[in-house]
Amino acid sequence: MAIITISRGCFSHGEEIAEKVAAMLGYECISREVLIEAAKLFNVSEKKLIKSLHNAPSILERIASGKEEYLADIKAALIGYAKNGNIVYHGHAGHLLLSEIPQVLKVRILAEKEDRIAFLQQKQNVSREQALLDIETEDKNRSNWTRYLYKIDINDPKLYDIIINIGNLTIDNACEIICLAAKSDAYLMTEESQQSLQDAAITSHIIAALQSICDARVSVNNGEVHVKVAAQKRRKTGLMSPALRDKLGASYQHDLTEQINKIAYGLPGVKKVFCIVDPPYYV
Amino acid sequence: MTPEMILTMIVLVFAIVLFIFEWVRVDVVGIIMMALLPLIGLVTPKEAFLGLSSNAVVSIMAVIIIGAGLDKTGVMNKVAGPIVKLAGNSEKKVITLISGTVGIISSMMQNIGAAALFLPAAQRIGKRMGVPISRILMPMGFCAIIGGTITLVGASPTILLNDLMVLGGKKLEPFGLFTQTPIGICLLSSAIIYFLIFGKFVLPAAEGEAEKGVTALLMEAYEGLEHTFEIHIPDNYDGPKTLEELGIRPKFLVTVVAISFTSENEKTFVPKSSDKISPGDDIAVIGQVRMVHMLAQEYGWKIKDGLDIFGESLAVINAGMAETVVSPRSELIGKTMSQVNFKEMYGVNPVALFTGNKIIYSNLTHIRLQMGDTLLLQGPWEKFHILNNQPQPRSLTFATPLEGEIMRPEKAKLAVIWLAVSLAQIIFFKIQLSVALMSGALGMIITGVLSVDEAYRSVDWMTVFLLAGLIPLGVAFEKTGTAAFIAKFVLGMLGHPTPIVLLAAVGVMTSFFTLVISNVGATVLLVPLCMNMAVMAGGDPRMAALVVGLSASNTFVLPTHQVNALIMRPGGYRTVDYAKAGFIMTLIFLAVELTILYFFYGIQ
Repeated sequence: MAIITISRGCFSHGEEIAEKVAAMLGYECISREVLIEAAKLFNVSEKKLIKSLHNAPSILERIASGKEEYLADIKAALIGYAKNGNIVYHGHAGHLLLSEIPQVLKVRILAEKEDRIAFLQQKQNVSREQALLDIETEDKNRSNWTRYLYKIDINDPKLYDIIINIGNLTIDNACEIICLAAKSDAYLMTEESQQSLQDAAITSHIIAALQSICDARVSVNNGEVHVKVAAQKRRKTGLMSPALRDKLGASYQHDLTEQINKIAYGLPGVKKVFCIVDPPYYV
Repeated sequence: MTPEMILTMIVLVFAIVLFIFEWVRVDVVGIIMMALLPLIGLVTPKEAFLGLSSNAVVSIMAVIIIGAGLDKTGVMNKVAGPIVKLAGNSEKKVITLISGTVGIISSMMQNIGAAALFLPAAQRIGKRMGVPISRILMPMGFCAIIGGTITLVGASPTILLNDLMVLGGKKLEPFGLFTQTPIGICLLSSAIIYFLIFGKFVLPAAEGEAEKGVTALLMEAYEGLEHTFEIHIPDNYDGPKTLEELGIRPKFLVTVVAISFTSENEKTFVPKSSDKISPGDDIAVIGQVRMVHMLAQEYGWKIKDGLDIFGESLAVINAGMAETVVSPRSELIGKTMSQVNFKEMYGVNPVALFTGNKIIYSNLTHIRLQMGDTLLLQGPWEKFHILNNQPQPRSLTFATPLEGEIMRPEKAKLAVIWLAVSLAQIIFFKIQLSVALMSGALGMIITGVLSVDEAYRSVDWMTVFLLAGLIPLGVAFEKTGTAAFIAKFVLGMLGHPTPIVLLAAVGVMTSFFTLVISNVGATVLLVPLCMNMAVMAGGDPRMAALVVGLSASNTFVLPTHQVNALIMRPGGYRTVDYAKAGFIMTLIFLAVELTILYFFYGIQ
């Protein structure tokens, strides 16, 4: 009953290892499924989600924090999958998206550059120079992405539980090591950890659903959801009578509370929702 | 540079810092300026408070009172109904008509009020036609903002211009109410055309949240009630029969909430069990769809498509439902509703009673009420307000907020007449804006369209003090020669542009400033500066001021601006949608504004 994330550079045999580990343990091996689920849940295109996992945000996206929005969607879908345990996730950034969950075995796979070049050449039939360039660009992309969005270095060993260098160790050796680690007590699911995973799934789903609507703080404890929506800033750009301001403020509070209740009560495992919405303030 | 100029620049920087960092609200910045400027001797005490008696401030007070009067009498709702009907089932027609009307209304009224008025209707239409609501709301919101550019009093920045147009101690010729109208109309049309053609590409197809008033929510909470229906009694119906004989409530759990007696040409909104229904009458009922259909089938009645005869009186703004609780010490405790003649006394219909753990829909009037029983009532808002305003101990306490306010539809004609009187004074007799508008507002108060207290309560004091406080800052900026000094410096850097190029630069600069700071703040800072620059470049300073005033409404990119914020959640928009659709709108706004100025306002 473990959750395993496999992070790796491109063409480092990550997918192969993930599939083998999943087969050996009888787990489900997932990657794109998460994106499909996120796209379905939050009504965004899969293309945008894929882009959000690859490229560091553009200036416009930084201002509008568009990328962070998509990441929250992906995170919610991933935790939704992970809450039942028994998965191997080999998509991007699994270790970062699931960083708050203690029962995740975070694996990093490294491979020698020559090996990666050969693997790419064999797979896509390109020249050595092209392969090298592709690998370097992709590595740089991923490192920029993590640096901007999570303010960390992707190569920091503290981010992972195990780092395996494929070279002297074969792919099969790597799989055995991962399986052995996955069976250790540290990654066993208890009733308590199951509940905290369930709570994390609810939290991440509500955060993802609300992020484009309002700035909300969400906490979930044993299925009891507490949502606090901070007052929204509005800039006055015209006349507004105090009566209209109060009326619009009250209807905003009322409608938003309704919407939050609807989102939260629609999730499995939610027992009660407490919601406080502050009325907007004008500057 | 004189010491006064240095001091003015320090104050200006201080004001800009306050605007950007928002440590205090914008109107407080205004009040700070009002106090600070005379204290450091940049303006005389008299000049410092001149803003309060300025044309701009008096005009906006009068405009908002006139708007409140029109609101109070439901004139605007009367406009909304036919427009929505006229739009029919074509998406393009809906966008054009709703956006156009909102734009025209906000040329004289608060823009957010116009947008809020049409928001529910737009949501309903979108749902009915299966068009994503996001395609309708953003055009409507943008047109509400643009509508402010149609008249001088439509938006705070333009209303301010006449008070700021002082150059070298000399007051320039003021703008009329409609000087800018051709530009405003062109801007409005181009916005509508933009969304008609490119709407599909720049707007998301988000679903948004459906409109729901308290009444709709209550009807959902009480499962037995789904909808209000209007039913016509055909001429061949075997009547007349009393409601009691028909047994509508016990048999079908359907409540009759209004009857229109054709023979007497009368309507009742609190039908009694002894009221007779005759052939040719119309009734309004509340109940489950299934049950209402069964009722119609049983008696051979005809369910109408939506509300027709009761459309006005039972519309959300006039009537609805409210949940009330029998208060402690209430006179109703221990009595049945028929004993106290409930309907007659309160003028509202009991629809359901929640007592113990049961919801009761029939025979309500014969059940003894206890403290804490919840009664669901239907009726005109006016009656609910009377009930709510009863002195303690109240018989019923309201558990849901009261949606409607007391309306005075009978004064609608007077409200329109007073608006027309104000406009006639401005157009035909060239009477000063503030005087004409204030006399219209006064007329409304005297003829009882709204009380003087209601008028005071409707005034937007935040804008009043913002304008009043910043006008002296603008005056000091010009009077001390600081504006001329900075203008010379900026022009030195720009070279010597032609007037139209300069105006383009002014437009871009103002559009940028309004994104970062308050639009009124931007106007106050830029009008003196740009007028000086225009004079130095050989252009018309009044046109430079007009470009600043108009461009200050160019606020489409950020969702924090009040109208954009209003439509954000209902439209299901994300910040990035504003950035995309708004940026193109910003460019179109500037291009259209400058083109019209170039061809029709004599700028070379």
